[in-house]
Amino acid sequence: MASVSYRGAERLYPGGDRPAVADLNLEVEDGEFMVLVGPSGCGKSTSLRMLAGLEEVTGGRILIGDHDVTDVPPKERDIAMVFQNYALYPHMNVADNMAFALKLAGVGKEERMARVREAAKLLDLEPYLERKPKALSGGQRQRVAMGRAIVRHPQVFCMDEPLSNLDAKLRVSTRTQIAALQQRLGITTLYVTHDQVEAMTMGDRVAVMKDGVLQQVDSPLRLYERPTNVFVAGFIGSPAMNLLSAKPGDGGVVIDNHLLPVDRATASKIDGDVTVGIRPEAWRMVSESEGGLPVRVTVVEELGADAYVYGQCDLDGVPGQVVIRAAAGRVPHKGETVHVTSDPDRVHVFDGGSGRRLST
Amino acid sequence: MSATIARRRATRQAGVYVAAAALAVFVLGPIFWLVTTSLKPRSEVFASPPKFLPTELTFANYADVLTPDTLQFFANSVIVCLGTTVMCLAFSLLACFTLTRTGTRGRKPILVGVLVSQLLPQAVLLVPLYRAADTLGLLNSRFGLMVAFMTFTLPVAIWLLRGFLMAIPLELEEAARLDGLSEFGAYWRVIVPLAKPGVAAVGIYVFFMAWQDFMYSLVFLTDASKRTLPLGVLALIGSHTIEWGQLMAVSALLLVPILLVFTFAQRYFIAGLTAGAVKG
Repeated sequence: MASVSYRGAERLYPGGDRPAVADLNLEVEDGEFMVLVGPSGCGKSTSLRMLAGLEEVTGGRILIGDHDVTDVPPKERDIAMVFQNYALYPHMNVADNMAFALKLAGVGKEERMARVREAAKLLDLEPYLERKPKALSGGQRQRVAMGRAIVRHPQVFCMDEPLSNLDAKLRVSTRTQIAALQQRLGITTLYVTHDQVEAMTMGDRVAVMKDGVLQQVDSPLRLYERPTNVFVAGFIGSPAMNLLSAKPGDGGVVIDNHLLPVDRATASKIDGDVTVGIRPEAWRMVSESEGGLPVRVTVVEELGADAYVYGQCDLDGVPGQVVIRAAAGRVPHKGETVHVTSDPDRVHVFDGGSGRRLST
Repeated sequence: MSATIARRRATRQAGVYVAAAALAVFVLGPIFWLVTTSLKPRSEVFASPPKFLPTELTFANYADVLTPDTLQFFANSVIVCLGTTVMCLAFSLLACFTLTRTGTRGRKPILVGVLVSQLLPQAVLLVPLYRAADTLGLLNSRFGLMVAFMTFTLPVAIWLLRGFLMAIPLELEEAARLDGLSEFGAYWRVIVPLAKPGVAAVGIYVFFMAWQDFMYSLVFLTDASKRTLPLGVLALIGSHTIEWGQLMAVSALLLVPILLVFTFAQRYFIAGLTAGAVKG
């Protein structure tokens, strides 16, 4: 087991004008479950593949423990990887698939079989050891891919969107299993996904990337509560945070003539136009006389315990979309106009130009 | 289902069968003629009107041609063609490692060059090859003939194999490299075994190309003991007489290995060719 450090790691493709991964600095602690998340093309898979040695590192260093692996071939890095399409060897049965790396490492047959059986038991694969991958379901194949990684007792697990080929229901249950398994084995894990729900539910910490640049590394809750910029604010959370442009006002920000109070420390930092971020659950419905932002309801999503209310507001002549979480029993109807406001401690303020967080 | 649709379907099926039968006559007709002629006595070969089936069956032609010489020619053919196949597969697999699995610069020009070399008529290469073989002391040797055969089999083999190998997902190679194999190890122990049907198909194809060669064998081999079977056929065409019955008998023997190989390996051959067709 070991920690992983990216120190200014960069991947520039020949002929590219912008690196796929730029100056990545990331420390993953021993035994930690780190999730790399971001939209497609953000460099998260490339970062993972750089650690595995499948992608050349064109700048900076990568360390596993104290060992600089930047120029070490993949087979000597002691990393096990789970691929999106599982990459099981089609010509080998399940047991051989799992034992292949051990066999190459010169582990004796007895020990090999013992470790395969142990992993198979852990993953409920015992009845399928003799089967070829093509005779397995998607979920079973996924577990074999996990098993292949587990038997090796590697220093680091790399997982590249291992759940995206599963159906929605299986994805949710497997998500929990993987997280539990990782905790039990205590092996440092880097997990790549584009699904922010997966990132939030599985990771000890989450690294959000965009355009090859690391945006923020934090615990899921911190990411949700204190996004460092507009991108992270909009990316983390479902439904997404409401992001509305606003002007500075007296003791707060002004959205289409409606003053939204912010705390004093934040207000002092506002200098010019800002972007205001409010989570769907941070809206408070008020009466018209209390001066909230008027929102015309267009769609209501009833979820039982609560509801998501989608509506339109007017931002100085430009229509804006707003999502409000409403508690059951207080759900407005389609076509109705509601007035909403929020509390100073639940309003995120970002600089209108750079998108950086201004709220304290 | 109405009767009209049923009738229309029957008509269409009949049409398909008629076309298939016509094709079969076209393809199998010459082979049928070859086999029957080889089984006719000399007097019936030129009978008019022609006799499609021999009235009296004779194996005399086979007995006449099955001499130690013919067997030697046959053995030579098998040796040269198997040798060509093995060498050609080895070289094309090595070439395809570089061409499909590594990011080597200049892969495109190499591939185009290989393709262009295949466009040259074999006769054009004959003289330069002859001179090269002469310089290297490879004339009149079975090994030299194998090398000469590779000039036209290797480009085809590289292009066909490339298609099969590219169809195998890159992740498998990456998984193997993380499991402890080098780049070439992953190619050789994981990718190539998975492309086995393709490799078999290419092997069979190369064998056939070499088996049917006449020109290179004629030019490169002078020693009678080293001749291949197609050259043995030539010996039956004299300046005054042509022994048609015997000629057909030897030709029938030439077909035997092809039929055998195809019967046992056709599953590979067809699976391989269609697999290549999907992604190549």
